[in-house]
Amino acid sequence: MRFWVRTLVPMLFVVAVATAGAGEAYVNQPSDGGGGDGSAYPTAPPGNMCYLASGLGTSMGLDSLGSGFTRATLGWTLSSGNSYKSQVRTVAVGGDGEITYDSGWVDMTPGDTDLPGGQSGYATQTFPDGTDYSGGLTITDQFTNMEGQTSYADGMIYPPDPVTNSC
Amino acid sequence: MWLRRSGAFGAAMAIVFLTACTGGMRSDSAPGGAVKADSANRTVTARGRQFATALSSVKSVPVEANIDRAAATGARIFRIEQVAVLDPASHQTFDVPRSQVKQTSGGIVLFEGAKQIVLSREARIVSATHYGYIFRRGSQADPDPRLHAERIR
Repeated sequence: MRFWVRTLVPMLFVVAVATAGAGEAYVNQPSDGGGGDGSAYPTAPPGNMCYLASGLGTSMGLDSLGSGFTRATLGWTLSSGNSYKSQVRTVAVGGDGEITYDSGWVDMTPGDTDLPGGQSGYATQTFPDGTDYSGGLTITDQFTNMEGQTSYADGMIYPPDPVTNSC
Repeated sequence: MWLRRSGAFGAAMAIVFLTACTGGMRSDSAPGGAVKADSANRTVTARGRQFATALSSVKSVPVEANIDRAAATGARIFRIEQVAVLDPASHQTFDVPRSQVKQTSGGIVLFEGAKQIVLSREARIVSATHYGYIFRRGSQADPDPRLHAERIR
């Protein structure tokens, strides 16, 4: 009995502490300068950034291509039972709150092309290295189905709190 | 004996278990080496909401209005040629500089080099050339000449 008390209590304590920490970590943990696949995030002032996917967005990533450009990649999943037209736009804002990059809306499915529902995919846009996005960067994929209904996948990158480093 | 007294055995077991779990969640990656955030990166904090609001106000106006407003406040504005590429087989879309698109006998290759993406044979360029706009102010460096960005304002 004493064995179980002495073993399980610390185990549960560690699990509780770690779970609480992980809960916070899942709230857009600032990047640690590298991803699980070993690729490095670009560093922009103030360094680590927070990542957030929302709406139909399922993931948001950023990496430097080494050719003078950085790419932002937004993962998304579409509802089934329809097909969709897609338009994508990326906007970056500098630390002074002023715009530094704007792709405008780009039509990805002109004419009779469309994207089938029930699928997952990615939208990628690039912008020049050295672009200041320390005021935030967003990539939005606007999907319009055949009934004219619009939905959005959003990905955002923004700087963590400079004091607490939290998102 | 020591393990029982200190409770370290239980703690160690918990750490091993949690490390195994969280390590798996963070190892996922997107095509082309882009880092994929795990699905839990979806909680909007108050700080995140602030940035989302600011960014959405910039995005709520046409790019031409953003150009006019920036030019009126002394920004230097450049444009860079872009093309849109659709790969229907993998449900991927790309808005990329024309210089990053290579048409080969096997199809389209993007970002030639260490991080290149080889698209399926069905992939095709779906847009005429359009532009992405770069805004620079004050002492901010102009875009690298190798990018062939053209100053318009």
